[in-house]
Amino acid sequence: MFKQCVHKLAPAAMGAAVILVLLTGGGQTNAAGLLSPRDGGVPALSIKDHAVKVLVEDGYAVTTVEQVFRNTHDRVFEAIYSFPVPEKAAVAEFTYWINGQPVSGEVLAKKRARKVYEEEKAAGHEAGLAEQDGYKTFDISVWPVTPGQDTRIRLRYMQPAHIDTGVGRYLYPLEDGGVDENKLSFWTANDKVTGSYSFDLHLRPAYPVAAVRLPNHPGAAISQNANGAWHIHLDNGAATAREEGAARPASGQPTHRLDKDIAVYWRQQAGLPGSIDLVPYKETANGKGTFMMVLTPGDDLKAISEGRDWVFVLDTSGSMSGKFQSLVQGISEGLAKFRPEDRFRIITFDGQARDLSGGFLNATAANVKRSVAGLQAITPNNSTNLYAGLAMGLKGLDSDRSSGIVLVTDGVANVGHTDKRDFLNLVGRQDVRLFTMIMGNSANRPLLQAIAKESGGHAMNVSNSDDTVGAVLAATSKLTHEAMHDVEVAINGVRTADITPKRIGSLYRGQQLVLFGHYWGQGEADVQLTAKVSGKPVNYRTHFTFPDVATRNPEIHRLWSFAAIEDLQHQMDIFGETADVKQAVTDLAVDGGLVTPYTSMVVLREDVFAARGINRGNAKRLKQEQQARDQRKSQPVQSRRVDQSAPAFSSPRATYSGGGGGSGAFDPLGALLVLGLAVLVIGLRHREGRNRA
Amino acid sequence: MSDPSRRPVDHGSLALPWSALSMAGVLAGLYVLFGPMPAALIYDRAAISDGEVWRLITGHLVHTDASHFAWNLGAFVILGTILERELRLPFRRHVALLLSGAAVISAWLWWGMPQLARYCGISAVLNTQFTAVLGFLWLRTKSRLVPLVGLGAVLKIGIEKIFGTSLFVDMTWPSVPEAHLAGLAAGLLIVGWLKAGAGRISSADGSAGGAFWPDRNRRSVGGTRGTS
Repeated sequence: MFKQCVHKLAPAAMGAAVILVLLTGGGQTNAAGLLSPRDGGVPALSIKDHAVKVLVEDGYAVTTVEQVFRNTHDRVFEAIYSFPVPEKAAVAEFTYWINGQPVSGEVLAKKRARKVYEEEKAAGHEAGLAEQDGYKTFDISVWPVTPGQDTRIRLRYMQPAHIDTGVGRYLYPLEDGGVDENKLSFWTANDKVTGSYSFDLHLRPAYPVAAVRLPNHPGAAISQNANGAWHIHLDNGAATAREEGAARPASGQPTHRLDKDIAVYWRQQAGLPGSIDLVPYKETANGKGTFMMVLTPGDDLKAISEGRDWVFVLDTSGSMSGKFQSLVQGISEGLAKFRPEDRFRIITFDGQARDLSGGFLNATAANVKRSVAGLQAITPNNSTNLYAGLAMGLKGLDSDRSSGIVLVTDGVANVGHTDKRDFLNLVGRQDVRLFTMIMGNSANRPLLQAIAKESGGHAMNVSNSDDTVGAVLAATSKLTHEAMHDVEVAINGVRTADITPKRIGSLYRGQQLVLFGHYWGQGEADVQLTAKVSGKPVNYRTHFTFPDVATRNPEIHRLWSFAAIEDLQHQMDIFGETADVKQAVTDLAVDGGLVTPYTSMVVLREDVFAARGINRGNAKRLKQEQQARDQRKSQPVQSRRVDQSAPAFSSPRATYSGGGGGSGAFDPLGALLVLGLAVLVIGLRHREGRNRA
Repeated sequence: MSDPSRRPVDHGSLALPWSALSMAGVLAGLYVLFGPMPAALIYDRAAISDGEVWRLITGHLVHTDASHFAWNLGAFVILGTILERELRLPFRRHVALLLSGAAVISAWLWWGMPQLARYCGISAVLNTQFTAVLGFLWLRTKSRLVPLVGLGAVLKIGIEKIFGTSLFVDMTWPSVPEAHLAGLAAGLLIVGWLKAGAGRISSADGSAGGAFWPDRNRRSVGGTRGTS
């Protein structure tokens, strides 16, 4: 992306009217925003309005971001808006208002889309382009942003809802991790919203939610209606004033900055059953259907009683400086919960790796205290030799004890081995589970997820708006119980195909399994989940009906496409990138209308779409999806559970509140009661004594 | 049960509550030896259904972390001291009270809260001790302050129920107000059973007009037969 941008700057500089975006000094690079060259040679556009609407329903989230850019100068500019890639996000819509009318984009192969965009721009026509810069950012280019005019765009992406151990999490990513040094050296980003800013999340859960929380936004307005749906609202005051029909705020309105992720958690009620949910989409009885199946196992995995070994492999490179102390706090609290028979080892790495603990230590209070003090003394600095850190962590494991590695990093491997296959080979040689905490939005998520998956472990993303302490404890909790390994799901009785993920691997306590696939026909299917727990086979079985026609959730087709692309990318991770697989990804993305590293979305005038012979398939699909959302909105929330009549799991699902007797039992209030009782006893004794006297 | 009349005479010295302290020592020993949340001892529904029934009792004796343990131990020592020194509950009856409380609470967890997968801590049993103290006091004094304190305990559980759990931040197992309520109920049941079974608490120990602490050396709460 950096090279592309530099390349594009030359013609931009040559054309007097053609200049890139802007912004004023003081703009931060570590946030979403409008990009401008650091040399300050061009004036700045501004983000006038930024409105985010999120709908979480039927097991997935649809995020819609509408923005208005304003040009207060006397020349035409191109705007480039950049924002971090949200986890598992399928970007399905990019709409640009041309002559006051919204025009949505179509997906083309990346090179072709760029070529079309540049040609239309050179011809002086309105055009927009949404591209993905690897795992780092989505970049939206819009031409022209005319003097004194507002330019409006809309983006929409969807992703499966993430629920682990009864806690759902949605993240609206805005912070850039600041790990792409080339990009940072050239660009600066204007993250200021000068007009109205709002964030609205509507949560319509099929399973009751006990509480909703935004740890980094305590001022959020959270409300629940009588039907159990939740609404979370944030704004900068201007949005509220506008909604209420009040006058627009004066220009002195404080600006809002797009520099802080928004993390929303919702906790399901305790005691909900283990379940299988099915969200199908099938337009016609004779056609092909697509489904999303969510398996939430019951909590029947036993706690592990033997001592365990933990290796913490911690990134101490420069980019961790803002997060490191909260990470140390998390590790400190995590270690405090270990038992003396558990052992731990701490490896740190920047440009090189170090064994901070000097081998395995028993988790005694003294050892924990000494190690935490050692961590607290570290000042993050230097580059990131992830391979060296991981290799050191994998050495000296005891094959007689169950072991886990917690790898925490926010960056990209930029020193030593950096090839993904080297990492996969390294992890593949060991029988150890890798639990990866991916800090921030700019880490090399594909690499870290791939090596966690290869080891049979688990990767979790952690934002600065998340609770780092809780995240460390959540990671370590995955090894406190038995896990299901070699998990497989068989569906018989209904013809199915293209099930993704192809290889499921392991399922840890509290994890859901989300499968996508195609089916034909209708009727009752026998569904069986098999796995091994501590070497013994386990089996969960149920039966339910796949419907003949289901039109409520057309988004499922895109989500399937995205999941299938992820599978192909994992295949390329292991076997290398081939032309065939790249073409397969491109075909899937074009068919699904998705922006990927190989495809981009271009917006042109309707007559230009027609003249270039670009099929408007995505526009048709967007219309269909919007109609379905409007219809769902007018209907009550539907349960998607399909195994009620023959429950697959006998135990309730796992939750963090699955344990009890917590420390709140005899807190200061309880102590007050006990002391009150003691005073009462003494008082009554004295009264009795006086009576007797 | 030992014959209270044969115990050494207490001359009002600051004798230590040895029973309460020794039981507190057991709790501390378990924490020091096995650490927080020992997997082999906690109430784990899946493991209990596999036959590890000792967890029904041991789950109440182990704790999630140092803070949980410290608060509970403090309350245990105070309540144990009241029962031992002020209400003259003999050691074996005190142990029986705790075990019965643990059994009633575990029964409630098993049948009343099938969704609860894991549990640990003596907090619910402390509620049993708490109500037992209140029950004995009421039988003896009929003071209106006694139900008032009981009401406070119920209110506290209500507050726990409404505000007691956090989302994701507090990974330590949250409190289970229903277990605490079961603990309170267990205390009432046990006192009621003692009263009905022994039948002599009130008449022998003074609730029908006798002295509350007439003879601190010989009176035992729930004794089979009063000696006053």
